[in-house]
Amino acid sequence: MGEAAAATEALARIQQRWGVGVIRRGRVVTDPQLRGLVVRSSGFAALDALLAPRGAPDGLTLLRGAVGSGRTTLALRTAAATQAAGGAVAWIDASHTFDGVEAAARGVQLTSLPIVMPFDINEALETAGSIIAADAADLLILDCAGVRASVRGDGLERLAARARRTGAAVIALVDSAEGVLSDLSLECSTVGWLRIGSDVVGRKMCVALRSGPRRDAQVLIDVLEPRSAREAIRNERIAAE
Amino acid sequence: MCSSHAAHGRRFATSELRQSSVPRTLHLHWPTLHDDRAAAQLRNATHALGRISPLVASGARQIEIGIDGLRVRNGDESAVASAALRAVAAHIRTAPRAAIASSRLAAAVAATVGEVGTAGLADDAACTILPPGSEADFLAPQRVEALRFAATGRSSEELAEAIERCSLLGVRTLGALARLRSGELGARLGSIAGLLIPLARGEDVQAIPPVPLPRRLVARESFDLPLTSIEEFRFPLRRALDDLLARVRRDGAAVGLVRLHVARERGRPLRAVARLPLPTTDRTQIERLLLAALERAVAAARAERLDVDGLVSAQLQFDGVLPASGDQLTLLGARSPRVDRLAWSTAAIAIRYGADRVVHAEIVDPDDARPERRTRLVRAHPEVGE
Amino acid sequence: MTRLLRHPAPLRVREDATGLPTSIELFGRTCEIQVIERWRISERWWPDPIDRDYLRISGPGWLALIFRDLLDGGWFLERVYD
Repeated sequence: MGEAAAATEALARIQQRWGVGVIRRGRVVTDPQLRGLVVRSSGFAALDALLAPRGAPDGLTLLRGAVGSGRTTLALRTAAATQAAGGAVAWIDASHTFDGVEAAARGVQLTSLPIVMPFDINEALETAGSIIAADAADLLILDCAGVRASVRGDGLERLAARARRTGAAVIALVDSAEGVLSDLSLECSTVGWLRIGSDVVGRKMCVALRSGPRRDAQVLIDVLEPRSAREAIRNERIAAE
Repeated sequence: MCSSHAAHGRRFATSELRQSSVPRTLHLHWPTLHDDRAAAQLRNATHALGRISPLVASGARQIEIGIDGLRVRNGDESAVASAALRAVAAHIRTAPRAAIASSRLAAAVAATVGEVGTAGLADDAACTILPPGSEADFLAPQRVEALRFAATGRSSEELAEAIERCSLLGVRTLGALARLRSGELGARLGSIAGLLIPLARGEDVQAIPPVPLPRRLVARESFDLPLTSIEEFRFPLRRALDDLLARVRRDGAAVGLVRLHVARERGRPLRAVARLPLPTTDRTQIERLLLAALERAVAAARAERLDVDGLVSAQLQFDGVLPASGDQLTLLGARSPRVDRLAWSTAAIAIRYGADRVVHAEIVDPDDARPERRTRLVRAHPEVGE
Repeated sequence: MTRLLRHPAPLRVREDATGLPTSIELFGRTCEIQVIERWRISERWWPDPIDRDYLRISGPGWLALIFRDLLDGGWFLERVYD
């Protein structure tokens, strides 16, 4: 009996003894998405539809809005979605207000999120620049919201240029960035509350895409605010399952 | 006699349950790898697989790796095979035949014999996975010549002679060989019979040996003229790194801890230590971390008003040379290659700006009344700042 | 996501006759607020006791969490929901 025939017979006997399908054929899955194609979803379908196909663009996205407008939730949801897609995410916390409980509630894997706590805005830009220059992030959140010192426009633009070269996205939360050229500008505002009875359970956010002074497009998204941190984490886990 | 247990609609033999704790081997076979470059390609592919597992053995046109201990998502050995095939594809363009089994011989035969005509297998990239305990049944109808694929620790001439004698004695299949008692056959074949019978039964007689690794590698260099800047020092540092890393890579290993000792004309020697976030052989990353650590040592020396000019010699020491399996999750499933680079990058930030600059948030008690108690920030690189 | 202040920030609050806040000074402005929810957390028996009235409040376009410290009587901002 030839070797191939012997093997055929042997495998057939194994299948007969242990059942059809017991011999598994592992198929090689080549994954073409390992390099450069991490999708940076915002976590909100309506906004993703405007940012298709890859979500946050390479380069700089300015996330504007008043404190309390919901832009940090948007940044966190984007970080969580990018992590879930296998991407490397870093957070530069210049405002020193990172809330780990609600980050986890929004789906962020805290163990995979390095948080850089810079001494000042200059160090924030330097450390962000070093991470991008090392091609070490798919998404970098630069959180300067509420920081008194203003971010230098040329510093942001250099960071943007580096990010475009390496195919990374930088999302910057800044209070004042007039005249800064960005690849995308999103303006967030709360336009209403979601209520059950008299209880506020969330907000209706308007996210406007801007290029220059024009408002190019806008979407309304519903963002739920959990009653308690434990409930938040529990709800996010349920939603993810 | 085997008793049977019904489990999830499948009947398991007791011997199969015992077999499930036997090490599993992935065998890769390239039937058409013949040309001049084959040896170099196989060597490079072996080193690449050395990053997946410390148990790697190669031969003519084949590589075996021990796959136990790898973190397999959802217990799927297909994913392990996929990862291994991706690792070797960079070095050998032809896709190998692959098989996984609890016996090195069964895996070799399944990979070498190749397509067996079952629907869905007509694909060069497929991998045959034999369930644990099925090896004896698989090997039984094979001719004794299949023993030539076996790892016995004996010479190929001795093995070939034993195979021929089996044939002459009328033992033509592995199934027939498996039914014999070693005393019977030993009288005709000698001690090798004690190896051949277990092999025929689907048992390994020789495990894949772990690659022996030196724990410490050292490179030293003295400079003809004292170096006056760290910039000048980059070149001898790079030479030393290349030299040691070549040796580490040859062993399929990676380095976890690097020490640098630089003597000066005047003043205390400078010392720098880089504990690497992940075992690696990436020279650029190691160089970057070491130089950052050296700059800190220089800054500290300057603060003590020591003259930092005149570097006269350097010793580079690799401690903690490790099997390069590292974090095997890197190779399984979709994951951006930047994830590992991010660890390096933040380690460099911690060295340059201070270990307290890079943290992870940990949840302690999300409902604690005091916000400062709900989470804590822990240093992401506790190894920095030795 | 909320902006969590590492250490709660003192707040200037105007209260009504029942002691509920009607407006607070936030982001440099005085804002009329609505109380959405309130609860008390009392841990007097710990070596480091706390006794706080928490309120979730909404202002023009924002939600925040404030508390009155019943041990020393002051109002504090704990977080702004962002």
